[in-house]
Amino acid sequence: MKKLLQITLGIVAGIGGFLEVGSIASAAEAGASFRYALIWAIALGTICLIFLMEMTGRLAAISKHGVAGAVRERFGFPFAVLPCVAQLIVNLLVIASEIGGVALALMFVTGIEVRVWVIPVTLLIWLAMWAGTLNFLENGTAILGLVSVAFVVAAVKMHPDYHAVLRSLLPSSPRQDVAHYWYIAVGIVGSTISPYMFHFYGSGAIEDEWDEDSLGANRVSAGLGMSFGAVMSLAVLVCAALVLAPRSIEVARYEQVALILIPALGRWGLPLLAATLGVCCFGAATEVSLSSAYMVAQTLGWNWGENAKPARNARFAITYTIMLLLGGSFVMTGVDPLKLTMFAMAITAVVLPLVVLPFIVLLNDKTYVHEHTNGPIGNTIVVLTILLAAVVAIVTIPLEIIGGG
Amino acid sequence: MKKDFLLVRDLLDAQLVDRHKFNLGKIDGITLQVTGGKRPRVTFLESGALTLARRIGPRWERFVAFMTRHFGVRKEPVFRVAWKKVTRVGIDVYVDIDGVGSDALAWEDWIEKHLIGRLPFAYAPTEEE
Repeated sequence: MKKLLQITLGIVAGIGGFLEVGSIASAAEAGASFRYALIWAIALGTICLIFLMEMTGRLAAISKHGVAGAVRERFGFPFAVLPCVAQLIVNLLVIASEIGGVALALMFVTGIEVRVWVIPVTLLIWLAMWAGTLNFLENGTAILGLVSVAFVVAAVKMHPDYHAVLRSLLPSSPRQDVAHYWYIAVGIVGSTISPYMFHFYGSGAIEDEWDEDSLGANRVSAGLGMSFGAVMSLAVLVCAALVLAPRSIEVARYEQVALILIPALGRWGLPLLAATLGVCCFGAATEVSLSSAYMVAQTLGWNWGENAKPARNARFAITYTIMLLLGGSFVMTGVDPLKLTMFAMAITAVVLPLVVLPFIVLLNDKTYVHEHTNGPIGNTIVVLTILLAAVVAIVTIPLEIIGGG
Repeated sequence: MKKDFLLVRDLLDAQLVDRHKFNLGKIDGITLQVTGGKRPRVTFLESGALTLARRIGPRWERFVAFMTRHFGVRKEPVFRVAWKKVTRVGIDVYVDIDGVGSDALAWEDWIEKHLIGRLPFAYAPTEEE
C-alpha cells in the first residue's frame, strides 16, 4: 500500500506537469502547426525530467530536505533568492492559467462565461488544500486524472501513422516557419521541465516519509509518473495533428482545443475534454500553490506540511492562500488565458538553468545523499540538461519576439 | 561535537531546529567574538529578516529596519541563540531551547492567532479553540 502511495505521487506530479493547461496548449499548438514533427521535444523534455525527478526524490528520501532548502543551505541566500522570486512570479502566472483552465472547462459544459466561475473555482481549490491532506490531493488527482486517457483512446481511434510518429522522435527542422517551430519546441521543453514539480515531488516525498528503502519506488514513481504524463501529452499532439492540421486550424484560443476529441469520440468529446481539463488544471493549481508554499517555507526555514492542519503551519498555509488569491484576481482582470500561459512558460524557460544547476552539486554531496550520489550517467544527464536549459533560456525571448506571433 | 567549523559551509544558512524538532528559521547571520591574539569564537547564531537584508545590501537593510520598527511583531528584530545552546551540527543545527512562544515563531503565532486560526477547519477537531 505504501509503495502504491509512493507511485501516485509520481503520477500526480506527472499529470500536473504534462496535462496542465500550458502543456495541453503547447502540445495542441505543436500538432496543429507541425503535425508530428515536434514529438521529439516532448520525448527530450521527458527524459530530462525523469532523471531530475528521480534525483529530487532521492535527495528528499535520504536527506529529508527539499530542493529549495538544500539550495539555500549549500549555495547561500544571495544565490537562492533570485530563482525563488522568479519562480514565485512564474507560479503566480501558472496558478492564474490553471484557475482559468478549470473555469474554461466549466464553461464548455455549462455555457456560462469564464469570469463567473473564477471565484467559486478559486474557493474550491483553496478548500481542497485547506481541509484536505496531501494524500487526499494526490489520490484524488491521480484517480480522477485517469479521465485524460480519453486523449489516448481518441488518438488510437483515429489511426495515426505510427511510423511517422516514431520517426518524429528524432529532431528535424521544417523548411518553412522555422522560428515558429523552434518557439513551440522551446515552449514544450520549458513547460515539461517545470521547476515547481521538483518542489512538489521532493516535499511530497518528505511528507510521505520516504526513506532509503523508498529509492526503488522513487525510480518507478518518477519514471512511470512522467511517462504517463508524456504519453497523454503525446496523445494531445497526435489528436491535434490529425484533426486541426488538415483543416489548417491554428490554436489561437483554448476553445479550439475542444475540437480535437470530437471526430473520434463524437458527442462525448466535449464533456471528456472538459473533464480532463477541469481535473488536471485543478490538480495542477493545487500542485503549484503548494509548491510555492513549500519553496518559500524551506528557503526561509519555516515549519511546513500539507498533512498538518493549517493552524499548525500558519505561515505555510497563508502563503498558498495568498498565491491562490493573487492568481484568482489575475484571471478576474480578463487577461487572455492562452497568452498568459505562453508568457508563463517563456519565463519558466529563462529561470530554468538556475533551478537545474544546483542538482549537479547537491546530488554529489555525501552530506546530503550519503553513498547514493549520482553515477556518471546521472551526472551526464544533469550537465546536458543544464546546457539545454541554458540554450532554452537564451533563445526563448528572441524566439518569442520572432516566432511567438 | 567538533570544535572547528567552516562558518559559511557548515553554519550560515543552515536550518535551526529546537529541542522539539520545530524549525526556528535559517541561520541568517553569525556573531563572532574576537579577543586580542586569539582565534575568533562563535557567540551567537542569528535569525531574522534584518540580518538577512544586511547581507543583500544597505538599502534593503534600511527598508527592513523601517518595516520591522513599524510592523514587526517580535520583541527584538533579530532572534539570537547563544552558541552554548547548540547540541548538534549536521546538515541542520540543533539547539537546546524551546521554540514555542519564542521570538523565532512570533510571526507564526501572530498569523495563527489573527488570520488562520479564525477560519473554519484550521484546527483539528480535538484542538479547536
